[in-house]
Amino acid sequence: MRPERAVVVGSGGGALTIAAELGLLGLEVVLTDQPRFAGGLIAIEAQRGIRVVFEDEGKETLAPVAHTSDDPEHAIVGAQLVIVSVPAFGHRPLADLLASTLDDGQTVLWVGEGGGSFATVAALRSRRRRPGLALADTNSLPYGGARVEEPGRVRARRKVGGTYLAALPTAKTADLVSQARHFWPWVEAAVNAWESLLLNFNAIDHVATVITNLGRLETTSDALNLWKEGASPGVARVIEAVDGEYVRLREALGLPVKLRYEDFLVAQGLVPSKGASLHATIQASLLATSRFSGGISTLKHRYITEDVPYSLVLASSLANELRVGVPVIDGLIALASAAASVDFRKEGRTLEGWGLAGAGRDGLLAAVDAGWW
Amino acid sequence: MTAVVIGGGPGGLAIAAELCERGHEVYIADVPELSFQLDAIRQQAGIGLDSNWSGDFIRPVTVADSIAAAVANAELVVICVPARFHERFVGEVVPHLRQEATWIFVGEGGGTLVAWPELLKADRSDVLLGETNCLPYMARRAGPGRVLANRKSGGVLLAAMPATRNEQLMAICLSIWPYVEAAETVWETALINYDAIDTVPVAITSAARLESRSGGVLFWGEGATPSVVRLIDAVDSELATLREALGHADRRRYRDFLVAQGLAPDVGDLYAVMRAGSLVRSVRPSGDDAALRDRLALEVAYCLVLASSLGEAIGVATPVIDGHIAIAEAMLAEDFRGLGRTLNRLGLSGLNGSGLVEYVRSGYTAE
Repeated sequence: MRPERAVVVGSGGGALTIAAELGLLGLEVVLTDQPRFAGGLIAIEAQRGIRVVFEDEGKETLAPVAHTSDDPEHAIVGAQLVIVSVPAFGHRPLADLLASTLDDGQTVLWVGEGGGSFATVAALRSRRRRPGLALADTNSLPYGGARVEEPGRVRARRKVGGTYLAALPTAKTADLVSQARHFWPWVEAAVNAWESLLLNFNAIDHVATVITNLGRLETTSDALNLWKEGASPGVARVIEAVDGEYVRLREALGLPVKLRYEDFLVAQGLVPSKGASLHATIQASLLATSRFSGGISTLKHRYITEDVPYSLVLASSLANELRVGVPVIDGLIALASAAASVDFRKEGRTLEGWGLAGAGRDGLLAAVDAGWW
Repeated sequence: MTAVVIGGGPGGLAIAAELCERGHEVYIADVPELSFQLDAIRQQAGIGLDSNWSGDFIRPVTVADSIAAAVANAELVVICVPARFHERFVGEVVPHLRQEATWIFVGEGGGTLVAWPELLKADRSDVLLGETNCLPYMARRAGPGRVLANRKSGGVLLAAMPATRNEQLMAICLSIWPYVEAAETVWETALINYDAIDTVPVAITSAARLESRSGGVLFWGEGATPSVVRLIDAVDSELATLREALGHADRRRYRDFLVAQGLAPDVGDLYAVMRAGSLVRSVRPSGDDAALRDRLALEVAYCLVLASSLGEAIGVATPVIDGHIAIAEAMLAEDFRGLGRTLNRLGLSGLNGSGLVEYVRSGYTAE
C-alpha cells in the first residue's frame, strides 16, 4: 500500500528531486530542512512546488509540495513516512535532532549514501529512547546528476538500477523495499545494512580521481570533465583498487560479491555495457561528461570533505574491526589529510561514533539484524 | 689514483669527467646491454663536459674492456647506477676489488646496505665503502658522450659503511667534491633522498596529466601546487622523524637542502622556496605509461619502501609514505613492497632502533 503523505528532510538536489517525484505521484509532500539550509525552500513555498526536469522527459514540470518547514524536528511528528536525503555529514546532526520526536510506527528512509540509519540508532541510544521504528538506508541516490539549478528548480536523471535498500532490523527490508518501489521501481534489497553501506560508488570513484589529479585541479579555475580528463589508465587502476578493498570488506562480513564497481556503472545506466577495461568503461560512460570545478578550493569540495571522512574513514574503521587490510583507502585518507592539513580520521565517521567499536564481525552482523545494539 | 666509474648515465659521465680533471686516471664501464651508451666516448676518447666550473672540451676517459678488469685495476670504484641495479653490480664488483680499495655509491643512497654484507661474506672489510645521498651535480645528457653538469653548492651528504671510517672517506671525497658534507651514518644518506621526497607526491597527484598529455610537462612548475607541496612536506617530515628516531642530530629539512644545493633562494617556506627555485622550470616527459612509471618506480621501491620498513621496525608511523606506496602500487599494478628494498631483504629483520644504528656504526649486528 502506497503512503498518502511523506515528509522529505533536506534541501539539496537529492531531497528536492525525491520530493518532486513523490509530489508528481500524488503524495502530499512536506519538505523541511534546518533553518541554516532552508533558504532554498522559500521559492518552493512561494510557487507551491518544485520545478523539476527529469532528463528522460526533457521538460520542466511543477511538482506539487503541500508546504515547507524549517523545523524538521516538529515537521516529522505524526508522519508515517519520513525520507531524509542530506549529505553524510548531516546524518548524525539530523538524527540527533529527530531523535527526540521520532515515534512508534514511523518509517524513516535515509536516501543517498548509507549510514543514516546507523546514526539514528546511535542518536536514540544516547537519548535512551527506543521507539518502534522501521529504519532503512539506500546505498546511493536513485538519481544521477541531481542538482538545484536555481531556487525552486531541480534537474536530475533517474537511474535504472544499482539502488539497494536495507532496513534496520534486516527483517523489515522486504517490506521497505516494496514501499520504496512505489517511487523507484528498480530498488533492490541489500542483504543487510552493511551491504548498502559498502556499495558506495562515490567513495570508490571520487577521492581516488581527485587526489591523483590534485596538481591539475588546483591550478585550473575552469570546470573540467573530471573523469574524461582525469581517469587515465593508471588512475582507473587506483579506482579499481579502492573497489577491490570494498569488495574485501563485504567478503569479510560474509556478503556475497557478485558485482564490482564496473558492473554497477552498467546497472545504474551510466554506460550500456562494460568495455575492455575499467578505463575504457569509464571513458564511455556518463561519468566522462561530469563537470568539476575545483581550483584552489579543490580540497574543500564534497568529493573530499564528505567522501574522505564519512566514507573512506568509515571503511578504514570497519577494516580495522574486521582485520582486513585496506592500504589504498588508508593511503587516500593520509594523502587527503596531509594535502588539506585536516585530520580527516579525527573528524570522520567511525564504528566508535556509532557505539559499535569492538563488536567484532559477529557483533556487527547481529547489530544490523536486530536493528539495535 | 686509478679510478673506474660504473654507469654510463649523465651522473656517471659527470663524475668521470670530474675525476679526470682532478688528475686521476679514469675508466668508465657499464653492463653489456647498456654499453652502447659508451660508444661515443670510445670514439672521441673521452667525455664532452659542458659545466659551470670549467671550459668545454673533451676529458680523456677510457672505456673499460670489462667491469672485472677495470675494478681489479682501480684504487677508487664509483658506482652511479639506478638503485635497482645495485645488487647486480655488487655481485660484479666484489670479487675483483683491490686490497684497500675505496668504493663509493654516488647518487641516491642505500647501495652500501646491499654491498656491506657481501664484503663481509667475502672477508673484505679492508675495502673503504661509502655512499652519497644524491648526485653532486645537476646533470643531464647533452648528446652522445657528452654531459651538461653543474656542481651543487652543498646538500651532498656522504657516509661510510661502517661509520667508523667516515673521516677516512671524507678526506678522499673532499679532494674530489669539496662541498660534500659528512652524514652521521648511511641511514641519513639513505633517508635524505630528494627524489623520493619531491618527485613521488607530484607524480601521484599529476598522474593523469603525466600519462595523457603528450610532449612533456613542467613537472614541478605545473604540479607543485600548494596542497601538493604540503604532501612533499609530509613525506619529508616522516623521513625526518625516522632520522630523529634513529638518533641523528641533523634537523635540516628538504627545504633547507634545496637552498643548500643551490637550487633555490632562501626566501620563505617550502612553497615559496620551490616556486622561486629552478625546479619549476624542469621539464619531464609525459604522454604514456612510462612517463608515470619512470617518476615513481625507483623512488617508491628503493627509498619509500625502505623508509616504511624502517618505521615498522622502530615503531614510527609513516602513513603518508605508506599511502604513496599503496597508491603507486595500485596505479602501476606493481608490488613495490615485494620487489623493493626492505630491512628483511637487507638481512636486518628483527633489529630494533638501537640494533639498526649499531649496525651502521660498527658494521656488525649484536648477534
